[in-house]
Amino acid sequence: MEDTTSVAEDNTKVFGFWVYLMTDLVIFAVLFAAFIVLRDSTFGGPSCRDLFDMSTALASTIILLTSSFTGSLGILNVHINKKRPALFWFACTIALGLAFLTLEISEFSRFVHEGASWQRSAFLSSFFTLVGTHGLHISIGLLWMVVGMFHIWLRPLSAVHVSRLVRMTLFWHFLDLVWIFIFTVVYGMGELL
Amino acid sequence: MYKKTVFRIIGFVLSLALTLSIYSIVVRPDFFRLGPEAAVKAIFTLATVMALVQCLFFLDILSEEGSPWNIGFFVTTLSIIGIIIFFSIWIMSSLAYNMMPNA
Repeated sequence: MEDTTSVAEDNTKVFGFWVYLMTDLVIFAVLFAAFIVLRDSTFGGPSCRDLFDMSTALASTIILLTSSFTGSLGILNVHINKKRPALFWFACTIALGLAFLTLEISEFSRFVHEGASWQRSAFLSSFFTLVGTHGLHISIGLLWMVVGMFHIWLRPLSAVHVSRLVRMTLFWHFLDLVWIFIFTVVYGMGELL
Repeated sequence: MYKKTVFRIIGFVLSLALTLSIYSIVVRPDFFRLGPEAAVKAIFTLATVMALVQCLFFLDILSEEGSPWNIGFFVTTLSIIGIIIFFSIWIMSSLAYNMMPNA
């Protein structure tokens, strides 16, 4: 019954999810605007240049890019109904996502230990809000991916499941897109200006 | 399937190359003979190219399956974002300039 979703209905679902992603993009845009406006308001505390480590940021970026790539390989295998390779690639994606999250949390705890917590200055509040919101999205994406892997493992790959997994990878690629700008605006610009 | 895999690999290699070039400009702006302002412009251009690469090669924004509504909504959102970011920066910088006590 469920398997007979038409292509048109599926396109509508993807469009609905796309609308959600775009509104999410507006949230990130507002947080970016706040960060750019407040980045010099350090209130005598540490500035971007004192805190950020560009090589950690590079490592995070490469990890997230690779996870986006393995996720796309996973969904390609879902499309041709190959469960085992699909599970393998999604497991790689989850592992890379966890590595990314670990790097981010260790960076946050380093900042807090150095006395640069979100309470220190407007710059740090906006930094933690922007990067923390992205990290929260990554955690939700990871949770979603674990559930998706159980679906692939336990259930036949019906059209409904495939379309859910398509939206899941769309979400993951979208987070990668946002991170590119965090890498450039927060870390890159922080080092240069 | 094969064509799409090749597509993804190309996108991945391009993104890696762009990330590394952003990194090298940030770490060594002198090597590229760029001042801070010019270097910021350069990394923003590279980031925009990289976002385009992500949209084309991973989000498949121009694929035949996607509806024209998707791309239409995307462009609308981008213009809203442009308005938010540009005018926030503009209004806050002129505010900061005009509120300076000794200006």
